Amino acid sequence: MRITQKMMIDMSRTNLLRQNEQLFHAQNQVSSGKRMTRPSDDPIGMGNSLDYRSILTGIDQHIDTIKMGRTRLEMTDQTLTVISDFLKSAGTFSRKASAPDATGRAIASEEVANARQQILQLANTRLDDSYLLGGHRTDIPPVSEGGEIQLRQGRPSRLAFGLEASASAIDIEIRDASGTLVRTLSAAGGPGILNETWDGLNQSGDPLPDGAYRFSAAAEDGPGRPVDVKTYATYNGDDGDHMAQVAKGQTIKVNANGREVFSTTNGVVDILRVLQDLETELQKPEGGFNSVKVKALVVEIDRAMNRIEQVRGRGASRLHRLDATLTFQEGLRPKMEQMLADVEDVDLTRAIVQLRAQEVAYQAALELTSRVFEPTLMDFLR
Amino acid sequence: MPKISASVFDLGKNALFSAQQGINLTGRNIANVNTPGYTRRRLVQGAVSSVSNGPARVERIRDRFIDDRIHLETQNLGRQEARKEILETVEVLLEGTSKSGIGAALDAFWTGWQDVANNPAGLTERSVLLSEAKTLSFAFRQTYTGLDRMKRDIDLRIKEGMSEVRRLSDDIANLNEKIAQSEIRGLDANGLRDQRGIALKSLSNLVDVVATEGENDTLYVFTAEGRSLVVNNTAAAWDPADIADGATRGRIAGWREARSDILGYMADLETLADGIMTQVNERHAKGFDLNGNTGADFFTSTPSSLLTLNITEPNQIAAAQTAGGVPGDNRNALAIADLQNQPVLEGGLSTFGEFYNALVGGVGGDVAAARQKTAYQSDMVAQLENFRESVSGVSIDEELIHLTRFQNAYQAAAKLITTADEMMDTLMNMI
Repeated sequence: MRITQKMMIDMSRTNLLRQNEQLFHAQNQVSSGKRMTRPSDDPIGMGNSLDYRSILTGIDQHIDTIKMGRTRLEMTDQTLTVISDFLKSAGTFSRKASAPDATGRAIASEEVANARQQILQLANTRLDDSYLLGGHRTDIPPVSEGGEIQLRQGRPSRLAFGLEASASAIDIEIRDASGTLVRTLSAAGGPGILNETWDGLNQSGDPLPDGAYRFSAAAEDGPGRPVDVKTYATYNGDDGDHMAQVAKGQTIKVNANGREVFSTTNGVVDILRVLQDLETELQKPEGGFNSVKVKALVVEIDRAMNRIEQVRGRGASRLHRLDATLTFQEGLRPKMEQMLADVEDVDLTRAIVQLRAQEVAYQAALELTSRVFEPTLMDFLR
Repeated sequence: MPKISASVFDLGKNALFSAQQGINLTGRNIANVNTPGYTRRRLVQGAVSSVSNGPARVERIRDRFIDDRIHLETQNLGRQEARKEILETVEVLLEGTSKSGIGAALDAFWTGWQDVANNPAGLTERSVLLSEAKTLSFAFRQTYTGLDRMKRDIDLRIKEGMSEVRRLSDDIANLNEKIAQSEIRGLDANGLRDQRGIALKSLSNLVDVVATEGENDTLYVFTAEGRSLVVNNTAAAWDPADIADGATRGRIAGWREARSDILGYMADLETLADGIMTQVNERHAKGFDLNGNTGADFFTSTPSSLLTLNITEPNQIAAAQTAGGVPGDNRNALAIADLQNQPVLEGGLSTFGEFYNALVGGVGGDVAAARQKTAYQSDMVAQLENFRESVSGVSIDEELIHLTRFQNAYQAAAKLITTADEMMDTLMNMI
């Protein structure tokens, strides 16, 4: 085949450029440490890399969620433990109380009152601005003192009170924080725990601002004799569950709501009613003291403590599940990272060796190119 | 008996002329060793006698078939190269691992919903979610408008390409005429032929052409479809749009292919954005926000933006499943976060993430294939050029040999004249 100088030069040039490109590519790999810089370097590998990255983001998110869940469960458990302790002490003192021992009864009564106050406060424990035991209603205190209303517009408030006997006329007065009467309601019924609903409007039908209100009730029976009305602490939350997404397709409940922890009757928190009644009973003078009634109330305390233990037990098993899931996610993470590195990162040793090889090839090509230019016939003709 | 004076002197003169012609031609070849598109000339000489300096003809050494092959493969190369260049730019737009890309923004969006689910009453988490949604919207807009801009860029290139095709067709037509006229006058039209060859090669780079040489060495140029670009000495009148649409090879075809690729990618983005919007809105409407209202449309889409955030206040995020469950109810937020795992696209086969990954992978695959085809075509054209060069290229060594040959002939011819002169002298001195 006839060869001209141009052919030799062109061939040298093309090959040199190609060597340049390969050298550049090798240098790029070594300096960036990445096997692929663009999707076209390895389309399937890029697809895998995107997948793994998504999964890693998911794992991190799940770990955060699990930690949040654990905090909630641990804090709930702590709260329930302390509530249980107070119940235990109230029960112990009440058991020891007997009719003749006035001092003992006074001390027991104080202990029961104290326990009731503390339990009420503990029931309103908050974590980061949200109430732990309110179910889904995390924005208002789950338990409010008897006679207190936490009004939130758009949600009717439940008024609960207890009657010893049947009453035909019950007058309920609702006052705002400064004591002004804003609404009156009427009801009838009893004995037992009764409920009335207040829609949050005043007497003229206008909505009142959100906030704390108080209500009181006076009742009469048919003939007009007064009937004793007691207000008890009520539960304002609901029975919603707080679910946490701890793994793909896996949610765990991380709260306990007030209704689970305490039983309620028509909105009244039973154990707090029990403690309130117990306090009242213990304060009665020797003649009015009913030890049978006290014993019955103490049995209720035991029942409440059992209930709390059950809730704690369920919480503990959920905590175990969370721990297991955390271990799983934390173990998965380094494996995913390894898979990502395998796809994305370049094997540095191999890349450097290739770089050296390219450099050598490039030098050889350069030398060869210089030789192409050397002899022509000109050098030999005189 | 041959006459000394007339015949030998004339012979010598013609020999000199003939040698001079050879030297001239060799000189021209040497001078044009680096001229692109130059075909080497060869002197075809008839017999030199005392009455004629030999009917010499200058021949262009070329192989027509190689030239045709080069034109065809150049067209193919043009197409692959043009498509590759455009797709490589698209690839940068859709770069998957970039922090500001759609993939990362989508992941962050789902994470945002999870954070709200973990603390449904928290305003911080809600604000962050709105911010992530805005980032997602921005990522879509960036990519989509980037692709749109590229599409319009291609349209511009095609337009400019067609102007170039017009100009080259006119050039070829002009050269056809000049060549015909030169031939009539007996002048050497080879330089013009070379120019015409260059114009044809440039044309081949742009659009698919088939060239045939007609009578009088005119070049007829058609597109592969059969539309005429140059007929005789006139460039035909054609509609740029027709030619462009029908192009199957050349850069214009490559641009058109890239354009339809881009339209495909844009359609995919539309599908993805629409899917996200529909699913999120549908789920969002089933929930309740902090104000107790049912969820409004979370996203809307406008002609200029595929995915726009419609919610303005953190309170309006509907995380709760029931109105009474506000604010602690997070079930709707959990459900929306779970949408990332639902295979809702491609008729129930792929999730949003899988769809996007497939899109990026698809672009990568297209670019890799284009790169491969371009490399292959490039090699093919280089080889053919080599063949052409082998046939038509100037070899300095060869020309120097020719130069020596003609130089010797010139010297010998001069010697002939000197000898004849000496003979005359001798004759003169005899008398």
